Amino acid sequence: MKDRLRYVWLSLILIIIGSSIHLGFNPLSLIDDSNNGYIIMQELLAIDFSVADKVFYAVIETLEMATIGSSIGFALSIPAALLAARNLSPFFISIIFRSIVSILWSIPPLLYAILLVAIVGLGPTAGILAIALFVVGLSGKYLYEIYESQNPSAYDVMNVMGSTRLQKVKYVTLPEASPYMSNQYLFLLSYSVRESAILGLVGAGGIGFYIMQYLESLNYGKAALFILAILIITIGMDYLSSKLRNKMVH
Amino acid sequence: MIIFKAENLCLNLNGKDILKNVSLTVEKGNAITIMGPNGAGKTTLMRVILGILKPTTGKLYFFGGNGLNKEIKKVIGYIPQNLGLVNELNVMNNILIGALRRVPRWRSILGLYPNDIIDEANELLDVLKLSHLKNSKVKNLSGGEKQRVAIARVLLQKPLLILADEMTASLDLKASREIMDILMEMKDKMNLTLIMIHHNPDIAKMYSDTIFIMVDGRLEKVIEANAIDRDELVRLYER
Repeated sequence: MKDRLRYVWLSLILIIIGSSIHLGFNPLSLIDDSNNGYIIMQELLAIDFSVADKVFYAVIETLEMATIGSSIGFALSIPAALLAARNLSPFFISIIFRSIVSILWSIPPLLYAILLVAIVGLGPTAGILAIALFVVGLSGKYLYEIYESQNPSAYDVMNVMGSTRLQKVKYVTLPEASPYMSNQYLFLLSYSVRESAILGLVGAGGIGFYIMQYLESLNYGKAALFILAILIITIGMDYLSSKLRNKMVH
Repeated sequence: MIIFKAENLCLNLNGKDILKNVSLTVEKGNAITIMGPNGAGKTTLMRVILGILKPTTGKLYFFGGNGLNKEIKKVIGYIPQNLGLVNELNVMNNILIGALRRVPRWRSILGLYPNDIIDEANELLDVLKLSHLKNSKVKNLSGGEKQRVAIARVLLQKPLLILADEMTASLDLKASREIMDILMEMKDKMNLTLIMIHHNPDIAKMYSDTIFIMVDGRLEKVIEANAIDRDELVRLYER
């Protein structure tokens, strides 16, 4: 057993070294090119507050995108998860919905955003849809696992009575899952704020859009204020959502 | 009048014979208890009777008719070992689950129960001394209170036959007797028939007309509860 573990570690180290050589990865370039880093850091630290009004509107837009996107995604993930859960859905339907949810989950939001910008154009609509699609996958996967792990004896009682699927969902599945679902929604909200902040980099609205604009025009001081705003709202949302989730648990 | 009859029930799961030729008859108004060591097939037999598991061979007859159909399911109540309550719902909503098949489907989905059902539920809450807990979530109740909620739920179903799987397993003898007294009182009042599984020989003897001893998937013995003393009963089922 110990020998096997040693081989696993050795293989892992060899893979890391091999991959680094293959990619030409050189961490020392950080030191070699430290002068560039020093200049950029200096410019970033000279925060330019003249764009404060734009930051305010960008923050509002990012929060709105995250709230709308995660809410639509979460709402759609509930029926998707109910249809994907093996204990609630016929076998073939559950296979189909599990596959849909898995596919939606495996594509990163940034990739959705690139595709959606090409389809619906630049702006927050693409960002909202990108978040919603990813959230359906992420939340759908989590929820069907919750539904499947519920105490089977409440379902047995309903089955013995000859209850319908809809009755089981209303009286057992959703009430039993409700604490987890509220928790999940709060987590998704804070997660989506972080994601919306990045989506602007590909033109899908939100704060990232301005960061990209100012970085491309080498206005690092102005970009810095937007980066600082991202930091504050993501940490703030994370704190708020974990506080609320704790409150719900106790 | 025979309310339930099982004929030569066999169940084979993954190549293992769990039930071997089990036949039993239950008369209307009787309380019967199935006893036996762990792994004897008691819960499996109950799950076959309830239609949760399908027997490999054998037949079930309910109320003189054939098989378990939708109409018969309406009047069979079930209290599983861990009660099958919905912890996040309050006591009243848990009890109302019992009436799901008594109201039109759309009403049950919208949660719009007719007043007579609500009155019946309130009456049961009163009888079972649960009125003060009506709006409490089940997860906050004690073991004994949860048992009473499970009884209220099954009674609101207006069943003719109730199957209860070790429903007092988590209670001490005093609390078990309190719960069984309530169930027996309701049985007499509503002319119910009970098929129960118990591990406690005192409870089984005290609250059954007939005791079926199961060993290794077989029905070994049928005993009149008042014709056997406790020690002999223990000897029989611990054998």
